[in-house]
Amino acid sequence: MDDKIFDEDISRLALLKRGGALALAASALAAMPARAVAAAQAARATTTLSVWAYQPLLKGGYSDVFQTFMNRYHAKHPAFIAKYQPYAYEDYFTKFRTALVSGKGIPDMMEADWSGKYHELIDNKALLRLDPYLTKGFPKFFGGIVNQMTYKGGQYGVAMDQNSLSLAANMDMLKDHGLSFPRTQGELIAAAKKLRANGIQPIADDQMNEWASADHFFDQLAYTDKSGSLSLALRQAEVGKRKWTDPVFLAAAEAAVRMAGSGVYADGSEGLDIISAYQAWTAEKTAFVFPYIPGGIDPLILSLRPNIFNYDFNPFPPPSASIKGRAIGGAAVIWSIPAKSKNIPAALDLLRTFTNPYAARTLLYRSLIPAFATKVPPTQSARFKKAVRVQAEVASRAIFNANVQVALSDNMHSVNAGRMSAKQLVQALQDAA
Amino acid sequence: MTSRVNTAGALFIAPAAVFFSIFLLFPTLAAIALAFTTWDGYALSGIHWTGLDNFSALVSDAVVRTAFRNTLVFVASTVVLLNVVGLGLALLIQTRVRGHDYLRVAMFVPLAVSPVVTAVIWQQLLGPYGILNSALQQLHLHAGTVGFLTDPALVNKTVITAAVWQYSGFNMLLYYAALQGLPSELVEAATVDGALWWNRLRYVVIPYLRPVIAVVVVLNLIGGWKVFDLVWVLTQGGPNHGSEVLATDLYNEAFKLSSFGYSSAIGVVIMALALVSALARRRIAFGSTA
Repeated sequence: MDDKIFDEDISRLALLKRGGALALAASALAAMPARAVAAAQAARATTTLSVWAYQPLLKGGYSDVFQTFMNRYHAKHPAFIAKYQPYAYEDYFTKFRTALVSGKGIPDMMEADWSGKYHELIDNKALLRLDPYLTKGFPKFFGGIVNQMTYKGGQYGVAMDQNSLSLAANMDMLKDHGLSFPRTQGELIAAAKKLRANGIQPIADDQMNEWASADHFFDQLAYTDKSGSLSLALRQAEVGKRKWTDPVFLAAAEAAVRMAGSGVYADGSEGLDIISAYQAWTAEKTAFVFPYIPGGIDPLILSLRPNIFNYDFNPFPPPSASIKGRAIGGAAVIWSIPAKSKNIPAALDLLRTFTNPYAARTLLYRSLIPAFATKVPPTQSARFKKAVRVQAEVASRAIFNANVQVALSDNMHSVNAGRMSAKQLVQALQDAA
Repeated sequence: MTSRVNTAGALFIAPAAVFFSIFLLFPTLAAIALAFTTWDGYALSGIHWTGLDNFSALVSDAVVRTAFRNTLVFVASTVVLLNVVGLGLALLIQTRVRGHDYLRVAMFVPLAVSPVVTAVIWQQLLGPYGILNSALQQLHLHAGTVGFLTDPALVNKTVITAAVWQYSGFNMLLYYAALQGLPSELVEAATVDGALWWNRLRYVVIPYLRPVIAVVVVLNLIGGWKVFDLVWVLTQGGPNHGSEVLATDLYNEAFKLSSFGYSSAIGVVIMALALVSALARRRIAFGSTA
């Protein structure tokens, strides 16, 4: 029987054939944009570089800086896109070890530890040796930083930025008490006595945080180790070329014990972490606070006390006026390339993007300090300009041997509390080595 | 029929058995195996068999000895205090004393707070410029600061106090639930016979609660042996290992010093202690007849 459709006599078979032809034509038409899209996508095919770090995703923080650099890299290398993957520090090296053992998900660029684990990574051949590549497209890093990054004759990491730890003072309070910023340890002790007599605690000292607890050893070592910013004593002891009981370390320990017993640290400093130390200082319970990290700690200060008093900073004072004050510090964010990265040339280019002069200007505008000589923008504060000047001469505050670093952090709690002697401290370091 | 029931039963427990095997049994066996090796975690080829070396090193390790001692004190103190406080509160609420509803909720609130938040609260309370020290100075009860978290003589007591504050509600809840099943005739009969409250408690209530006490004590023991989070956030085992417990030492050995073999040995010790505690349940519940 024939069907009528659109006033036309048509058989069912013919109708089916027409419908089939229409369907085929529609598919072809629909496929055209899809093919065009696929072609466009194939043309845009990118390789993703994985970048790992333990800096959290914080607006205005390091992660923003990393993303800026990664965007610049992609603009210059459209075939590559860098993706930032943050992990909490506590999980970070476990994740990396897991990736290494499984052979899967190894990052192309990673933040290396600023202390103990750096040498461990190198001993396990986990990092690419960077020396052959550093002569091209990388700046001339400060000598002390290069020393820190060098192990077993090779450099395996590059410092994106560095920071210093100093002593900050409430200058209004000092002026009210007829004091000026102490220039020597003797002046600091005298100032502490005067402040205590007037019911003010001297230094709110972060002795609780593990990363800060050992700093008063390094403060003193900055003056007992005459190699200055090269910190040769530390670098030699890390590789067994100098004992931890060496006179240079013993002298630093003795000075640390002396300072701990002199009353310069506020009562209860053993129980102060970085936040509570700054809470006490901004509440004007103490005249000084340690450690002050120029640029990095100022947002915390302003968050605790928006109308902050006039404050200034200087390195922890030297033993005498004839010695120039020297801050401690070193590399802040260290970048390395895993030896098993699948995209080493691209990762090296990415690393160059993180450390070139353009990157340096970005760091400076964000109050971070590059690990090489740079010109500070005129818009930056006088305090920040001072911090940048200090950077070239900082002495190291890291021990790249996990056992010794942990032993130092643990035992300095006892030193700061007056429960351990200098000889016991250096012996504990030697035992841990 | 029996075969069909067995097959059906096996199929029902299969998912749980697979989950248990993958996420509990296998990692436990792996940790036990690692305890007899040295390994820094970077490559499987780096695992080296060392036999009992890790266990003999534990015995001579001063930090482990300190950690064991602190953990033992923590376990002994918290088991006693948690059960005394928990049972006491449950009995108090049972008497329908004025405000018992509020008390029941108030004692349970700390349990709902994470140990991390608990530790932060106690840090703010007990820090050198915290509320308690400020109050002591304002009231002229103490001149300087009291090192609740930094004085080796006080730090463990502080940790125990924080733990009792946090977990008493858990014990209270279990005892209160058990007390609901206590036949009132037993208590009334004892009262009619002239028994004082202490004798009622000793000869009627506690014997009735004995199986529950056994379970609660074992749970407290196991929790005590593996305590970590509260200690870590409060003191990180400091000052200078003063409040170190076995679990925090395990963490340091594994994740700071990359000694996975040695830290696994510590883990085996913790597991053994918890297992012994679990086996003690019958003894506690049924006494020497168990």
